[in-house]
Order: sequence, then C-alpha cells, then structure tokens
Amino acid sequence: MDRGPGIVTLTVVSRVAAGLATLLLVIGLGFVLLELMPGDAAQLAEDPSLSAEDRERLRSAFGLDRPPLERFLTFASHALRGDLGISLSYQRPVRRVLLTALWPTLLLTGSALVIAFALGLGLGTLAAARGGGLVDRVVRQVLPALDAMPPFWLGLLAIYVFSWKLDWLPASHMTSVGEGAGGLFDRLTHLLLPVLVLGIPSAAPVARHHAEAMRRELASAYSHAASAMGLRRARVIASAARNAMHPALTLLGLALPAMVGGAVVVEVVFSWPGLGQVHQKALLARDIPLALGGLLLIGGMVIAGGLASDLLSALLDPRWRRRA
Amino acid sequence: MGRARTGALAAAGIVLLALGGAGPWLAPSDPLHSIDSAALRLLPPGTVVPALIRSDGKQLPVAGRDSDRPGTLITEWRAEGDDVVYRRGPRWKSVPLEELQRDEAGRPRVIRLAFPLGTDRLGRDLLSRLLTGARLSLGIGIFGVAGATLLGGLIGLVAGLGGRLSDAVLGRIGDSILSVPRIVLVMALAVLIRPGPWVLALLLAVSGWPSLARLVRADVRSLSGSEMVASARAAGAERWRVAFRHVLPHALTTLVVAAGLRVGPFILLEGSLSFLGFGVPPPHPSWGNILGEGRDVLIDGWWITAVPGLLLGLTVVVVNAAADGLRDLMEPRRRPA
Repeated sequence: MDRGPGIVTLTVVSRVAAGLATLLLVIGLGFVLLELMPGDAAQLAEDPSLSAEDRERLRSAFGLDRPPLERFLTFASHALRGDLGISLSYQRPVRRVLLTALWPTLLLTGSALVIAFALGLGLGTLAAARGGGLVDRVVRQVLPALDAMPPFWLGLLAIYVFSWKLDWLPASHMTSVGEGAGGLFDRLTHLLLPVLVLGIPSAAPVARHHAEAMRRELASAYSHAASAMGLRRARVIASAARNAMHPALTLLGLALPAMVGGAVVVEVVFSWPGLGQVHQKALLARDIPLALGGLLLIGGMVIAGGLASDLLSALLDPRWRRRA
Repeated sequence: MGRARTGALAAAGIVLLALGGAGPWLAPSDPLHSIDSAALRLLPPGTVVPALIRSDGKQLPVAGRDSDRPGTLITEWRAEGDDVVYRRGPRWKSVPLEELQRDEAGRPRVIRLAFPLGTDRLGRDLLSRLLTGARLSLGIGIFGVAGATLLGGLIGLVAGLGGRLSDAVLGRIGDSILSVPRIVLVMALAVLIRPGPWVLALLLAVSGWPSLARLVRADVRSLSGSEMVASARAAGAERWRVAFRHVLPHALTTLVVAAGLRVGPFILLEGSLSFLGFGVPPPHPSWGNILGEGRDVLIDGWWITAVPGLLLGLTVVVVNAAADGLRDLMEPRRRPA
C-alpha cells in the first residue's frame, strides 16, 4: 500500500490550516460588526451624565482604551476558547444558550443533507439511466421549480396543508407537550416536515449535477466496454454511479452554507429551537453578544463542515485509490 | 431552447419588468392605508363590498362579521327612519341620510369596492400591495446582483492579475464571507445599518461578490496563461492593456451568465430577509414582508400567504429560466441542459 502517508498528512494539515485561517477571518468579521454595532459597552462609556473619571474607569474596565488590535486579539482568544459573554435576553452565558440550540440545528441540517443527497443522487442516477421520461422531467423541471419557491413559503404551505387541514403532522417545535411527549415517534413526526421542506428543494442542484455526471460516465468508453463485455446493465450503472459520486462530495461542501441559511428560515417558520432561530431572535432583540456568538458558531459550523467534506473528497479521490 | 419557449419567456420577462417599473401606478387602491380597517379586515379574494358615500366624498364600506358565524360576510345596510344603518366590522353603525350622497330618487348612492386578491389584517387591498411591492422586491434583487457583479468582477480581476499576495488575501476574505450563510450575514448587517432599499441592495452585493469574484479570477488566471495572451505580450502589449482588451471580454461572458443565474436567488434572499423582519420595514410593502405579516393570520387569511408566495416563486422560476436561456445563448459549446 504505497499511498505515501506524507502526502495525506500534508493535505490534511494544509486544509485544516486554511480552515483555521478562514475561521479567524470570520471572527475578525464578527469583531468588526461588534465594534460598529450600536448599543454596546462603548455607548455606556460615552454616557455624558457620568463624570469624566467614571467614564475613564468604565472604559478601562471594558478594555476600550486599548488599541484595536489588542482588543481584537482578546476578543479572538475569548471566542476560540468559547467565552462569548453573557446573553442580554437570556441572562445566561452565550455559550450555554448556543450549545443548547446547537443539537437541534445539527439534527435538522444533517437530516436535510442526507435527504437532499439521497434524493438527488438517486434521482440523478435514475434520470441518467432511463434517459428521458418521467424521472428526467422531475429532475429538470419539478425539483428546480420547488427550489425556486421561497423556502419559508413552502414551510407555511406544508404547515397549512399537513398540519392544519389534514392534521397529520405537528406544526412546530421539536416535541409536543403533555402525553406522548419526548418519545421517538413524537420526535420523528415533529422532525418530518421541517426536514422535508429543507431537504427536498436542495436536492435539485444535486440531482441535476449528478445526472449530468452520470450521463458522461455512461457515455464513456469505459462503460461501453463494460456492457460490450456482457456486464448486466445494472452493474454498469452501479459502477458509473460510483465514479460519478466523487464530484457530488465537492458539491456537499459548496451546498453547506446555503443549507444552513435555509435552516435558519425553516427554523423560524417551524419554531424549531435551533441556532438560526436563536440568532434571529437575538438580532431582533438587539442582544448583541448572543447574536454575535450565533454568527460565529454558524460560520464555524459551515467551515468545519466544508473542511470535513473537503477532506473526505480528497481522501476518497479515485486517483489515489488506483495508486494503492 | 425552442422558439415558442423563448417567446413565452420573453413575454413573461417583460410583464415582470413592467410590474416592477409601473407597479405603484397600476395599484387600484392605497397600499399603505385602508379605507376602513374594521370593515375591510381579512376579506377573501374575489370579495366585492358595497360602500356608501358621505357628502364629503369619504367612502363608507359596508362589511362585517358576526362572531357567531365568522365565515359569512355581512354586507347589509338599511334605512331606519332618517338614518341609514350599515354593518361595520363587528357592529352596526348609523349615519343620518342627509349626510350621505344620494341619487335622484333620494336613495343613498352605493358603489362597489372590489378586492380581487382579498385584503390583509389591516384591510389593505392585497393586489395593490403586491403591485407596489413588486418594485422593491424585484429592484432590490436586481440591483443587488448588479452590485455584486461589479464588485466581484473588479475584485476577481485584481485577484487574477495581481501578485500572489493580493490573490491570497482576497481569496481568504472571500472564503470567509462565503462561510457565513448569506442570509445570516445580511441579517446581522441589516441590524447594524437599518437599511432602506438601496442600502439593502448594497448589503446583498457585499454578501454576493465572493462567488462571482472567484469565477472571474479563475477565468482570468486560465486566460492569462493562454496562447492568445502570450502572443499579445510578445507583440509588446503591456500588462493592463492585455487585461482589458483580451482577457476581459472572455471573463465578461462568464460573469454575465453567472450574474443572470443569481438574480432569482437574490430576489428570494430579499424575500426571506423581509419575511424575517430584517428587510424592507413595514408599512411599505415588499413581497417578503407581506408574507411575514401573513404568517400571523395563516388560518384566517391563507391568501395573504398563498398568493404572494406563489407570485414570488413563479417570478423566480421565470427569472431562472431566462438566465438559463442566457447561458445557453452565451456559451453555445455547452450541451443545453
């Protein structure tokens, strides 16, 4: 197995370093926003009703008399250690509020990603294999149309139809109150609508991309040779799918910010207690520490997810496998 | 793309642009104020309501609901002695006959107010609000893309042509902006700046330039190494000249196609922002904030959610299809998808 561990490590390290650099810049962005936000500690220190001495003391207490670079470094070191201050609206550490909201968002986004990719890859493969027909139309017209609809509208529509009119599924939150609350079935029914609303439209670009990749594979000399050699059609398709899968992984990394952004909207519509909803409420309430923490965590999540998919795609690069 | 489809698409596109441009003048009623909030509250699409007219010209709509039978609209009025009694919201009101405009027979003049798409919670005509809001919803998206294209094009050009340092720095900055979901970024910026429509478009542009810059940079880089450029340089052309006369036109094609593909998503972005409360502030209508208001009355006023959402979605579908057509036009070597 001559994969050359040096190259693997180098790739991993360089990607992680790039990710960290990006994270630092996101923190920088957050810092800039913090400095510019109205209503923060700086305004307290500017209060003209205080004496000049008191104002000076407040300024040094908040560290406002330090040069900006030093302030940024303090901010960054705190942020990286997870200390993001106290939430004004919850009166609890920002870190605690965010961590409580993290799991729901991960659950929602993760499940939606699975749906988007399973659906997208499956439909894409079918569309390429059947070459025209119903599945192809779905991929080329129905899915993109769904993707073009406002995500919050699909959510509200789903609530109206499935929750209000048909009473099949609950309309909000992760669990019900009262009897049957917290059980697996309860959680699943609550998860179903948000995940479908988030995941199905996102399958559109995946399906389209994958169908094209598959068509290219199936039209390649390799596939023709395989069928000429007598391989059953299903096997040919399966191996073409394996090869075409790789670009789909890169798509995963690119789709992540959009998916997380969509999750924010879906969380608000379904009152799903995740990061997106917390962030939105914090912004509306001008709870700057919490909003900023939310921004950083969301950015960090996307960077981490992109890094993971990047690494996965690099490690699974078929070119490497053949070397082994 | 077939001729028929192109034609249909072009027609739809023109209708949309007309809506956006002329919307506010096409609106039959005042989008910001209702004639009578109590009476005209939450009327379903297609409702036609009679109205009496006062001598001073003020319209008195006759409409209301009974709490016992909330589904039925009461539009009755009758004469009682010297007064006219009419329904207004949950109550009956009375007005002296002599204060009303009358026809020759002495009966009160009655006009009919039509609300083809219904009214909202405050009794405002939905059609008028949608027509007026079209300008903001479409305009912010279009100008946002324009700004992002300008910014992204310039920065991408600089990154592609400049040295490795500027390329690396710009690339990192672009990546970090890309790491934050667009909506989250613009939400935070919008709270900071408290924008009007132009500033909103600017915020969208700021969030959108990185992906366009990336495309331009890649194009510029690959074209810079091309033979065409090499021969131009060999002929003595200096760097910037080479850039503008040889590299730019090609990169421009990519840029224009990419920009076209982003108009739809940007329109959706403005919609989402306004829906969440960070976009166009009420009472000025934008399709997004109409949907935001509609959310609170989803059960009683489903049309406030259904119609604008459908309109927004169809607009984006048309815009996307047009952008696809543009791409097929400008990049003919691709197999049309």
